[in-house]
Amino acid sequence: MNGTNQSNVAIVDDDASVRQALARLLRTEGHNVQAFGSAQEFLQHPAIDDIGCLLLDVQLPDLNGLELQATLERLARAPAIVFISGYGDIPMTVRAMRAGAVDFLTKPCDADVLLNAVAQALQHDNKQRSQQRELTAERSRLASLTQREREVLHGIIAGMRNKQIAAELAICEKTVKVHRAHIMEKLGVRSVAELVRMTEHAVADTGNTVAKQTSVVPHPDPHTALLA
Amino acid sequence: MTSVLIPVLYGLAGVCVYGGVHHALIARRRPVDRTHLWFALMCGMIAAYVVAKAGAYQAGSAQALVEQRRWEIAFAILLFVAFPWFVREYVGQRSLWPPLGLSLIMSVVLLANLLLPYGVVFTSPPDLVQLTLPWGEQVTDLRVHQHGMWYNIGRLGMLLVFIYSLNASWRQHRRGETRRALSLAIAVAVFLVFFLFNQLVNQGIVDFIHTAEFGFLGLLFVMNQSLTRELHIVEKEMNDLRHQVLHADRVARISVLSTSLAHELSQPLTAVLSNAQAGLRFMQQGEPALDELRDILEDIVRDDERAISIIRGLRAMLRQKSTARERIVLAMAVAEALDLMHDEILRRGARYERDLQPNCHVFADKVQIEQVILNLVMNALDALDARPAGQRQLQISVASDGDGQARVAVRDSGMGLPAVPSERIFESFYSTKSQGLGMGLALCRSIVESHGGRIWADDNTDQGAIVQFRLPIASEEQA
Repeated sequence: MNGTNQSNVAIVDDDASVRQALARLLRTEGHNVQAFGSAQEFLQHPAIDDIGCLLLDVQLPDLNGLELQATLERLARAPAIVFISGYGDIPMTVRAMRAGAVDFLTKPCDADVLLNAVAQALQHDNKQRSQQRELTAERSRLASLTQREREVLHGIIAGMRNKQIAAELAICEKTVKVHRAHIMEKLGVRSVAELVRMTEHAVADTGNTVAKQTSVVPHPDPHTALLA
Repeated sequence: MTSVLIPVLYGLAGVCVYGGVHHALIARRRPVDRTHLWFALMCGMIAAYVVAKAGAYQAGSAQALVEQRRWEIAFAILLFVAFPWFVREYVGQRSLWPPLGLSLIMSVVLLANLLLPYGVVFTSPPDLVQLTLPWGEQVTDLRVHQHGMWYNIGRLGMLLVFIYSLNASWRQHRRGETRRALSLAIAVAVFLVFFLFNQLVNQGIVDFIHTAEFGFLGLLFVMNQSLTRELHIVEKEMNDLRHQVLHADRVARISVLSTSLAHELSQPLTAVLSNAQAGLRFMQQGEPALDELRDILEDIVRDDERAISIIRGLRAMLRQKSTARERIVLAMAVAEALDLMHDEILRRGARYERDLQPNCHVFADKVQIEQVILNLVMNALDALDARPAGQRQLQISVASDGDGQARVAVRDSGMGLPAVPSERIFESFYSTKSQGLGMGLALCRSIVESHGGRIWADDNTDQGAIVQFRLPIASEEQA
């Protein structure tokens, strides 16, 4: 569709003929399709990161579709999921959608509906990816700050004046100004407002990621994690 | 000249023994209906009576003849002890007193017959007479000149039994069961005719041998006809009922599976739809590769056949009429049942392995065998519900036992058998489930046993239970 390597679609369905038929249909749309017979098989795939959309059956041996969704959720980057099931009862659908599925289709499913859902999922995934890229860029820019610059940045975000920062760090105000200019330049922002927004953004998302990885306890203070 | 009478008597005894055994076997099969039991007893008494009589004709001396006659008469009286009870069962009468009174009178007569020096018929040593039968055979018989009190009591008792029986027959006719009533009336009438003829012989009015045994035989014949005809009707009804119950069970099982079956059907339909739409899109996109199109069409055909086979299996399970027994591959029946349940097993979070030896042929009703598998696997799934999701294992195997028997086993890792003797779980209405009727395993046993097999259950050494059944392997000729 968009022809880039991001239209990688994976299918997980334990029924071989369904798998093959769905793969065939998706290929007519120009997608790059990989099919898997079980959740385990899919999880062993080395390049899950490259997959933009996962077309997932609910009823699977071993790990079922909803459990796979939960497992992927814990990974740093999960593909957008479109469920396709022969059961599709309401509680199951609600559970899947709450957990972030793009759509929940019922078998048998019309080609237009299916391809539409996959396109939406890919779009969703694309957006996530560009956000992710932006975030990564912001983070690397933040990471390029020196220790002293970070301390100054901390002060700016806390709403302190240059004089206060200088007093806090026991340096002269002029040096604070120089640091400030460096920070603005390194982070590619023009105003303090923009600086605060970007920092908040990068930090907030880190917090989420950390929470995901540890899955139970969020990091006590993401600000310090990144800024200390 | 050679005797005709003695072989005829032994022949009669043989017929009576045959009838007795036949009805005793029926009585064993149908413990509720005691008519056959009493009838079998009567057959035995008549056989003994006839044998004693043949002995009397062959007796060498007057003393021996009198002794044989005493036994003969004892069995005749015994017959009248039993007869009222038979009539009571036959007409389905509830009142206990008439047969009890009658058989008490006859029992007292019987006792007297055993204790009195010459039995109840003779008061003194009887005269021997030589009789020439119509076909020229010479026999020695007894003639009595004077009858004692006991003889008259006995005759009175017998007459009362006849009256009771005819009355019972009349009442049955009034209740609308004319056919049954008529059979009884005819039987009693035949009996009565020969009884009266005997009286004429005893009184010296007719110069002939005693022929009561032919009266007995008439009774046996008419009653046997009537009982057997009814048995056929009852057995047909039972058979119809059994098939209705089996059908109801299948419908219930399938309805439990309906969600899974809908899913099972949606799989090939999904594949067909997606394949067809993929094909159309290929064609819209310009020159389609013919190879690709052929692959698509082949896949569509294959998936359609799969859907058809599911529907065919369903239709067979839901059909009311029983299918014929034929030589089937046991593994195939088991596999087809498992195909119907595949999704249900997954849905319930269980994993299953199948190990089905394809070479076991049995002569069986395929639908019924599938029904057994359905029942056993669903029981196993229920037993697995109590286990955590990762530990729900099922194993289904078909193998030859090597002794002309095939064995099907359903093993689960569930909670094991209830703590009762394992045969009990196959009894009707035995259930450990709050919603169970307790018919599943009883029906399984009924099906397996009607195929000449056996079913039993054990606990596994590690975890869960195993239910197995054996069926005789069909020979090559049974086709």
